[in-house]
Amino acid sequence: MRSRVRPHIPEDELHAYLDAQLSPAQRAEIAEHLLACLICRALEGEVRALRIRSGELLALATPRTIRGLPLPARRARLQLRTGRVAAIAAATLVVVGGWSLGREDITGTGSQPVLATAFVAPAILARVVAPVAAMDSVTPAPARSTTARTLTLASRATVAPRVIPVRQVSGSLASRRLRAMDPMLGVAPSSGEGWETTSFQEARAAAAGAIAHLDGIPVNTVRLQPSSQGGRPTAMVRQLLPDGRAVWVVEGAIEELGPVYQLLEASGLSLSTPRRARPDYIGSDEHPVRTVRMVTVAAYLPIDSVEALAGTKLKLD
Amino acid sequence: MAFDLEDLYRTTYDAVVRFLYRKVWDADRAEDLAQEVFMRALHHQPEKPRSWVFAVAANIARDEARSAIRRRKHLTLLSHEPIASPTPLGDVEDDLEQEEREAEVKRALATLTPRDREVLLLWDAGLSYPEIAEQTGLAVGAVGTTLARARKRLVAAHDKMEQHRDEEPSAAAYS
Repeated sequence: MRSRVRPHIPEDELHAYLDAQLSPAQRAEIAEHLLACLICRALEGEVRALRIRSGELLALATPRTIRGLPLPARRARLQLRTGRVAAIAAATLVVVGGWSLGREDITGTGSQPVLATAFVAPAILARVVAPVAAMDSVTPAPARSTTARTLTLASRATVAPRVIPVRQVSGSLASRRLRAMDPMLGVAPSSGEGWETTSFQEARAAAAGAIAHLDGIPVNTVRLQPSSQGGRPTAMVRQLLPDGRAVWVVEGAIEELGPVYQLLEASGLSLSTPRRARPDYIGSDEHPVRTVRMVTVAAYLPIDSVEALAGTKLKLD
Repeated sequence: MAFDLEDLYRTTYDAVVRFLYRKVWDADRAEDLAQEVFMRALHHQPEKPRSWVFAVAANIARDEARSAIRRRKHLTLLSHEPIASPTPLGDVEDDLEQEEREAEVKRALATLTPRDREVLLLWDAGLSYPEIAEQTGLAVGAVGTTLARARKRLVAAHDKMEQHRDEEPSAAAYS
């Protein structure tokens, strides 16, 4: 899928991007990069905040009335100013709330999500109660080295991933925007696509012992979709990393993976390069037909991390 | 395309006043100068009215700054200051606070280089990157870089001031 290694987006390009001053092609390229790159997404968040803040400051330097037309009341402007930290707090709470809600929606069990929220919340709250620190993050000291800066961005991206709405470009779904954090939502049994939830053991039995997964990482949920051609089902396995974040392993016949890949792409996940999974033989015993099956690892992680997981941990049975 | 002063006035007047205000820091003066800009526009009927208006506004503001220095010299000679802030409405405290905040922004803007400041003010006035490039002589590609730097410096300078003020409230000198 995304085999090309691209450099991170320069900051000035993000300004131009957010100022809507790029050509459609440039816009598309940056949007695509932002989908895959948590670091740039974090930087984009900072640039966005910086834009808003500098606009607010300039708005303070405005004549009170122009030609007798009252501008927004001074009082309101002052409140806007002093209410900024509160606004950030509120917005952040929404983010935290959304995150935990999203996760509870998916797992249903509630044990892991609480953990995840607890993991995220202190880091964000620390930013809220320390506005000076938050401002510092908006305008980093020039002395800080690139490496340290990248690390900061990466860690921030990890605790508070930014979700971006995605435009799906396929057939009837052309302009649909979705904000799904978890592709499992798209393959829920209620989706009408024939997906079923099952345990790892049952799934293994149904797939003749071949369920692709990452070795040594606890399996959280397995969803199977019966193959329309009669081979092994398409499988999506969710596994939880030690820090509570999820990784998805998708395996199936190449003809049936299209919609699933679309779903994964639309979630803003990084996808490992699809590789061959165990083939399947369908049809009668006299004339067996060999199917091509592919397997991909997806996660909200930098693309190289996902490739590394796929390269080192992937087990096909 | 025919020149439409009314449309130009309606869509850019406020932005021109704000743009000028951030250069002369006097609301009445900014409006007077804006009027003059539009008078000239009526006379010239420029092809690209939006860019033209801000280019002229920038020139007028520059001339104004020169004559302001001259005027100040006269005033010192006369040794009495004109009465500022003709705003009878509103809380005095609110006004003071607002003035102080504005003074902070003013000082933060003053820390920018003239080019950075110009690009930032032009962007805030609603010009596009190509329009800004044309007016400032920068390459279009350099506008983003300049704007990024200007925004960062403005916010950084302002935050530094606020920090400073929080540390020693008495030292918040009003310039």
